[in-house]
Amino acid sequence: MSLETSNIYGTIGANFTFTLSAGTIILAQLHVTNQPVITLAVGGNNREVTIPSLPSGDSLVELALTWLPGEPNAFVDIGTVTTGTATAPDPKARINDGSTFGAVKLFGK
Amino acid sequence: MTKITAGMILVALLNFPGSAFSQTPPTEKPSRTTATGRTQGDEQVDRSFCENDKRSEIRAFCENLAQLQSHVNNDTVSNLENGKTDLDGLDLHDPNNTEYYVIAIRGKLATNTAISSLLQDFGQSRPDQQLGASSNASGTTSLVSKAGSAELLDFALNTGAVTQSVNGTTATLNTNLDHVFRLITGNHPDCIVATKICKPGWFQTHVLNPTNISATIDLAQQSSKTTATSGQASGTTPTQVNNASIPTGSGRLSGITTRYQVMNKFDPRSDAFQEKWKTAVADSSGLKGAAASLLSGFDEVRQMLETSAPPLDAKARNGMLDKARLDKTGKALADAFAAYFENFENAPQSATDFQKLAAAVSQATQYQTAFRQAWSDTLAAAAGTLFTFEYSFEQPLNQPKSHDMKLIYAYNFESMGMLTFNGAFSLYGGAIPAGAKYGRIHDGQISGEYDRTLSGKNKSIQTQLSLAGYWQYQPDPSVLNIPAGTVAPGTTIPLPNGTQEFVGTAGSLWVAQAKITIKASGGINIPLGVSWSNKTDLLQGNKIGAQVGISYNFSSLAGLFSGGGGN
Repeated sequence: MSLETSNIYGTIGANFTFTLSAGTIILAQLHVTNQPVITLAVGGNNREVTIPSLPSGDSLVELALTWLPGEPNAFVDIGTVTTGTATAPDPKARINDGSTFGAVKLFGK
Repeated sequence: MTKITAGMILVALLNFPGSAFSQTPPTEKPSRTTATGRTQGDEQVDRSFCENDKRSEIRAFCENLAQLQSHVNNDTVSNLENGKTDLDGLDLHDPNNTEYYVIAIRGKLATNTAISSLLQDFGQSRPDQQLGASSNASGTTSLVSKAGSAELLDFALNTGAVTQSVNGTTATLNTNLDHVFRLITGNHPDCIVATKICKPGWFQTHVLNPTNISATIDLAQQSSKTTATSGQASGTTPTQVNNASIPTGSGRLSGITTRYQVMNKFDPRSDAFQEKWKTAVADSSGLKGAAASLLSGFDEVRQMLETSAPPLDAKARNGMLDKARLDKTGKALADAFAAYFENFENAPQSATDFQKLAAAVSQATQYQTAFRQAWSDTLAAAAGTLFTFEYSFEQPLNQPKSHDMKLIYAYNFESMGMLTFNGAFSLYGGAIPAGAKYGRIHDGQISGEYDRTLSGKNKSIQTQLSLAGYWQYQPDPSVLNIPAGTVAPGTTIPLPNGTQEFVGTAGSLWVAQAKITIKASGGINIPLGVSWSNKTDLLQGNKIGAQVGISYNFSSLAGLFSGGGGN
């Protein structure tokens, strides 16, 4: 992974939320190489995940997802940026309807 | 006659105006457009070139292939930059494709472990599941039938009759038709809720999935068969005995029950349902536990793919785009992706690496299956069961066979507990003997039960309190078949074959029951009940009895059939 392949990039230590346009997030976990897994807060109708502090370099948010019948595919976007900067470049990352496992690639610089 | 009636009821259920099966598909959400001009929401995408492809990788990645082909065809994707999201969807190195990779290869690795033993745990928090024998079995601990049904295979052992005189011991096997179907056919073992990447067929959704079958076996009563005698073997006084009853087994099938659940009609897009869904998700400890396992299982596969799968580099991405441009049907794109996928599959790997990957895929599949089951249960909890229809064929020992029809309705007060109501009638089966002093109707029943989790909510061991009341009305006393070879009391004179006698009394039978069920992890349930009744089916006078049982969910047996790693 890198800045080019990331779904969201921002400044190291940025506090922000990202959102899914559809689906229900049951659990979100932040994975950083050689670091313990961190469970992230999920809010906003179960579609918004809070990143308390964007790690340096590559990191990954893994999502356990459910969907209601008839829901469309979900797109990843930035919700609220509290500190620092965070950007979800176009085209937005897509998580297909019905996926139980989703991932959002982060990059802190 | 009964079959026709049951079939007619099934057809009526499928068209029942309040049921989920008659509901129209939800209306589409308004689409929105991104800064790049890409339409978001549920786009019209042609998946016909990939959704039924023989290659499992093409079927698994069909949505991503179809998205790319569609966007190339309508010129919203023309280069690597604006096609990044779609091309990421074909990259085995991309973590978002871990699930599709697992779906694509699990069949090839013979790890189609349909239903995980983890399924055991998710039914434990449900107060609506029927555990053990139905309320009309001789050894049942249940006075009222529950609306919920079994998972793959539940086994229950109960002793202590509630409404019957015979204090039997019964073993009950419960199974869900859809789980059995998917286990046998290997058809999308985890596909429970219909989505784009997981489409159970109409027959699965509307017939197999809501249907459960259970068989109850009387363990305390031997099965027997009437056979003609061939002559007197001993004795000085000739005695004419034409038939005798011979034992044929130590257990006896006493009944078969089929139950069909009808869910409430719901609109997934309505605010009211969204609120119920949100509450159901928040309340579902099973779903959260399954989610943690799911992530751990997929993370292991993801890490292996990250190490060993070839990234879809710029050259390969351009190649995919070229194929999509040249052939708008999507076939060339599918072939190109299959070649990329097979290239990774055929790459030399050590036996250890392959075994590790196979084990990780198997584990992820099992976790995913459990997660999807928990998801389906949560959806059912949000929608609610409108009612359950149950048909039982009963053949109690030395009593006429009967056909029992029952409607079950449950209302869940969430933290305040759940109320379940039953309304039932029972008809005698077979031909009514000439000169019989009773009619076709055996009895009618109304009953209700209140269940509430007392302790351990969201914990591995829970206790559930159940208070139940039961009323049964019989127009005639119960009928007892006199077995062949029975002699008149105090004599050696055999009674003629086919003799029937009335026992007990006509009229009302009342039962009250209090029960504590201990629900342990691993799908084990132990009900302990006491009951009082003003009489029983065959005897007059009050009866105070105790009931005890144990039930176990055998979902882990799935691995034996599917060739998977088991548990």
